Amino acid sequence: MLKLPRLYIKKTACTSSLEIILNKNTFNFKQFKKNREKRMIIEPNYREVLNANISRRGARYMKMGLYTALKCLESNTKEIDAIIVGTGIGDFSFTEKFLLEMIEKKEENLSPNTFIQSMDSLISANIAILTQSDGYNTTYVNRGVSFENTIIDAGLHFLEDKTNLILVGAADELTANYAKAISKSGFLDTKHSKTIKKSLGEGSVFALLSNKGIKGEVFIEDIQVLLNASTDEINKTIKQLLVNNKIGFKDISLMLADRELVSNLYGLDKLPTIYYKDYVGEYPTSSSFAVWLSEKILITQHIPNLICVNNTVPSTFRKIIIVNQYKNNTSIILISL
Amino acid sequence: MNIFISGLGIISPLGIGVKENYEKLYKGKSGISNLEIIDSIHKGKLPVGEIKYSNDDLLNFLQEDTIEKPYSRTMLIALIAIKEALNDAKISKSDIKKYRIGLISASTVGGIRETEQNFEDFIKNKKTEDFISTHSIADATEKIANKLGIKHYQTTINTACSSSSNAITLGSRLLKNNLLDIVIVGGVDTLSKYTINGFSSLLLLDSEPCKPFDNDRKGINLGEGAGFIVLESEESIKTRKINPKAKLKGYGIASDAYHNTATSPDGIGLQKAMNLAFRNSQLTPIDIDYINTHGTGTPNNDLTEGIAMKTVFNKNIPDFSSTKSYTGHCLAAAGAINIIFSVIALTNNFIIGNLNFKNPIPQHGLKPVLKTKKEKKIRNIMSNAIGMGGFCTSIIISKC
Repeated sequence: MLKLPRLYIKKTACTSSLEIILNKNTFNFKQFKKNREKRMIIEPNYREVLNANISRRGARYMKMGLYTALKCLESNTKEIDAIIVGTGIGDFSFTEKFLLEMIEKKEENLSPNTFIQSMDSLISANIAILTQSDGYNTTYVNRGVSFENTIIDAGLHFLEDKTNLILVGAADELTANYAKAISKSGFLDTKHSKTIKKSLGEGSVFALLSNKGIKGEVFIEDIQVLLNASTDEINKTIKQLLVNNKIGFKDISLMLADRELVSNLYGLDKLPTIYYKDYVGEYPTSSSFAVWLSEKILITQHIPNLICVNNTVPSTFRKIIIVNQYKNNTSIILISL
Repeated sequence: MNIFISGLGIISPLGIGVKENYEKLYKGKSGISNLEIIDSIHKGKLPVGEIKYSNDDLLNFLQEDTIEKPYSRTMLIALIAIKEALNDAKISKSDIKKYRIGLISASTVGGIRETEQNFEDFIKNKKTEDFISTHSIADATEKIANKLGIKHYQTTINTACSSSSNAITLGSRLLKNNLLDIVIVGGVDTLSKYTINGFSSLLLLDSEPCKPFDNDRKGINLGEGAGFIVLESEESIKTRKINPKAKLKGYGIASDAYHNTATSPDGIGLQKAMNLAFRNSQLTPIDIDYINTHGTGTPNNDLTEGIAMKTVFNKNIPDFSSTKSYTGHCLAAAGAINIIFSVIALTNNFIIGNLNFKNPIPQHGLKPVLKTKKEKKIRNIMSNAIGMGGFCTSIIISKC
């Protein structure tokens, strides 16, 4: 099993379909509609951090990621040693746009801007350009564990050298055509699909990670990813994770999980649980929202009023476990104070 | 910890397998031809590096009856290369269960070929094949990992044209941190109407066979290919009693942080990557006997790459060449294909000739090796890749 050093979360930013009200000591969400078919982000005021040109003509995938990354870096003055981004869907809207252009214009006089801005690697490249960071820079496109891969890479860096500050993040954009294609292909269908209708979502989260931290700061304590794992293998991994960190189920304050997966997992069903996808929808990097939410809960010791928790909520929060399932990907993340 | 390259696997416009690729490189024979297979207005007008096998041909070659549908051309050529690499490294099915093995792939456009074939019907609400499952660059990797039983680590990355170079460095890091014993790393990209039109719209395509480092160069020829290598820790090599092909001596990664489509005038990002590679491998410029360049044939790249090399090597540049005139620019696969070509050069003691060169670029005056330079003693090779958006990776390989 993967063993990485503690990854302290210094700062975060989140762009979501939820309207977030952040105060110094607490946070809440404004009233939202449940049971929406698509959970689209509340379009931020891109001009806050991006220039007029990018705000007007930039690909939405890129704008979403860049905005969130720059908000995360807002008060940061230190040098960023690495920029690592994850996406599951990539830049689908500009890919569609270029494909349509190719059809409509019969491959003549096509827009180079559309092609260039259809690349998955766009966000991490442009964060580097805008912040003038010349260090390690990469983009993971690995479906449901794209964001987890960025954390693991950051952890590897902390094991390897004196790296201090790494920006990790994720962005996934939902388009009408993407939703239609997913639905037609049945890509996300499971045996429960006839009874539980999945809402698709989108969003972006960025976090500044460091290998140095102080008491009272939240850190990622453990992270495991699995491919094509059976329920048995997932159960074994969770058990081993607890053993490796010298804790038991009683030490876990809260679980953030995928509704369908959890019903099969041993020992976790008694934990107070938030089914985070009920709020942000299903998208490959939704676990980044779960990480963001966990950090906020641990720092503020508060769960937003509009969030439902299964089972009795403890009085203090010390450790949160995230159990995420997306098609053939599973991840387990332990976040601690 | 020393990291070794124990297996190679490739399919490119030069052919299927290391042997065919080696023969063409050694003979100075290019794989660039006219665009044939893809249905496009550019058909017959554009030189490209095309793998002259249809998907059915590739399936026949694989002799597989269990390919999980739907699959993309990308998956087929990746599987061909990965199987050759595993075979070459003598990794059996039982080895995959026995050792901690990972798979890291890279691609820029993944299953775009299948997406573009179906997209018009899709938007017209006609029935189509399932293209959305194969669209993501993650799909081929996931299906291949599943097929081969690789469980310890799998991922796919995209850093444009330096993607597979980064897959190689990531693999090396996972081995060095003792998270894996063996890792298969590389990249893949197929030709598509999408990329042909994309690069055409950027005015980056040459309507003739490309001329890397030549003063009259006009741009790239696109290519398609898959290149994968097997990396192992020293302990794994000893345990399995394998004779490795080369040592992965070191690498350096840096961002140019300049522009989405152009490299900074002095190639600052590449300079930093090369210097980091020297530090990481504890070598200096005089230790390098051959530079296998990115050399795409664009006015911007070959100018800035040359300036970067001249700066880092203090004007004492060793033999260098670009192999893009053999295969075209295979995008994400380029980095791994370059490393495979470098290992071929290293183990057979020759420098690969740079085709189609006549006159040096006046700003740096660098002249590549033009013809196959035989019986050349090579200790260390540096191979560089630069991705659009400023992703620079430099890798050094050495004789064992």
